[in-house]
Amino acid sequence: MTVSVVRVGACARGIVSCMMKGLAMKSPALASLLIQLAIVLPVCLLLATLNRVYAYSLGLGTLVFILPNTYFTLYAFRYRGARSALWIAKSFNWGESGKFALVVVGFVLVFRFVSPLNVSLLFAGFCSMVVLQWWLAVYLQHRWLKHVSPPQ
Amino acid sequence: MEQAIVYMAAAILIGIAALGTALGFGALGGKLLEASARQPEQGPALQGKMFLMAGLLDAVPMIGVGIGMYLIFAVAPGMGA
Repeated sequence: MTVSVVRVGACARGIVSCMMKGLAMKSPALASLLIQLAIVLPVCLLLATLNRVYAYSLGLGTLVFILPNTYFTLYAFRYRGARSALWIAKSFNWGESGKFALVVVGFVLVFRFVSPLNVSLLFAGFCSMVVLQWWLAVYLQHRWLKHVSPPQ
Repeated sequence: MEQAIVYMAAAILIGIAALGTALGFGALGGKLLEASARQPEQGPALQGKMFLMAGLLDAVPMIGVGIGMYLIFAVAPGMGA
């Protein structure tokens, strides 16, 4: 048990270190991804010491949200500035469609191929990432987007 | 019969979720274009706010889609057996 806690602590420190590097790179999408992983991975590792099914159910729930959301963020932020407003709107639409498709595929794969599965924890992981994403969007917007230079 | 009802429930759940998101994103994209045309200097700030609203908008339908997939791939096959 003590070894597991030490390993979890080391893992969390490594993730936070990567997160800080990501923050230094000033990429909102990457920072968002790293913060989410930094919160989820230690929780999953702690749960794994209690019950492996609980751990991977929660982890899969979070992954089903994180991977499509990262795709959407990277896709939607390809363009900036008022001149590319039309492309921004188009990339938002396509990014959102892709995100929905990826979420559907993720849930299908989990429900079809993962057994045994704790469905409550799967949805708990998914919903917790949704709520975290709301907070992260506000935080990252205040942190980074106010520094975006206006169009020339 | 119960299996068919579960499939129909999942279809209605996903369909209405998709309809709501489509309407919301259509309005959101249209307003972004309008606002960017009126005040081009606000473009980046508007993009950030749009991203925030997109996160709020798609959360509930995505949970609905997840529950729909659960009904289709976990609940309905168990009823058929």
